[in-house]
Amino acid sequence: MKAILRIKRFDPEKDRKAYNQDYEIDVQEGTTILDGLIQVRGELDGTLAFRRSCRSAICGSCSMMINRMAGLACYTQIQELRSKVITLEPLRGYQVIRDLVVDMEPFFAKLKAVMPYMVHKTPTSDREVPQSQEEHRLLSEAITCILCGSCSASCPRYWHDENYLGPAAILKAYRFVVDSRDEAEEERLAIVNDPSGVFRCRKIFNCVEACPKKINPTEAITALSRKILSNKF
Amino acid sequence: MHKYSYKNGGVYVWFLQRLTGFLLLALLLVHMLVEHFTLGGHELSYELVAKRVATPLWKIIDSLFLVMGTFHGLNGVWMIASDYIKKDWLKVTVVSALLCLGGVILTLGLLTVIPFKM
Ligand code: SF4
Ligand code: FES
Repeated sequence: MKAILRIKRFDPEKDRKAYNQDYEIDVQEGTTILDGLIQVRGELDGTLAFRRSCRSAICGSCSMMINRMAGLACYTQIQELRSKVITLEPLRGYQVIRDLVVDMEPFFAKLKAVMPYMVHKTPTSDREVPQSQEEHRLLSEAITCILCGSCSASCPRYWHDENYLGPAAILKAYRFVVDSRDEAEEERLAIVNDPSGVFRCRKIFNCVEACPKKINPTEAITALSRKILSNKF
Repeated sequence: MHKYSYKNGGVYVWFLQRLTGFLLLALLLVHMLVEHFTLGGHELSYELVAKRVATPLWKIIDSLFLVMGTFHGLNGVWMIASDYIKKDWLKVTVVSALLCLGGVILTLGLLTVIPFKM
């Protein structure tokens, strides 16, 4: 079977505007978008730029707009899309560096802003800090986030407000706030209470739909809003 | 980069928007019930309404209605606008315009509600 990948190309050194280019590729059962891209680069056009590393939906580097929805190229099978022509574009809401490669720096800067690390203030012995299974269950979904950025790239708030923390960063804050071992709840809630934090979310739910790991970032955002509120009154 | 902090926190405005939304709905229901079912039903007349509006309790209720409605409406407009406005000077302009509009609405409204006599 054949399929066409319609790829948005842009090379800042020679193009003034992005343009679409079609590539016809061979598709078998199980062929992913990433397989298709590798085929294009290997056999049809060596100048195509895209990111990938693990090829098994765990590194988060191959996210892009697939038929206008953010998702992982290595996790999306071409036959399942049921379209003859598949449009591939760089992630929305990020600066394009070249072709399908975008600048993820702002995304990671926002992640860093929520203190994405464990803060344990009370002195402990040199043993580990234990956690019960119930306590762990609260964060078991959030820790599967691979930081692919698909959620933020599908969020209209993220496109329009360059300061908005976005679902991924807020989910990270949530992951530590609900962690029984972490002791920086107040600082973290202070950060996400910013006008460009949790209260900027308009409950559009695009992030829930986009997440390849089936995480629900909107639920995390709502949970943090509630926590801020109940801490105030 | 933007500095994320508590100081300019959004929780109060967010909560007030929800609270006023709920109270407005409740007040509206009370208004409908009183006005259209218990007061005059189909024979609602100026005299009946005026008599109600002239009592101190209703003056308080109507003033509350006015204040909450103004806040809820204008804050809602600002929420939507702030989603899309990026330039600082434009933000300041829009906020000032909305505050002025709110001032005018409140003044005119309260001038009507408070001194009202039969
Ligand atoms: S929440 Fe999902 S979509 Fe968002 S960065 Fe994590 S894995 Fe990707
Ligand atoms: S290549 Fe690692 S997630 Fe797709």
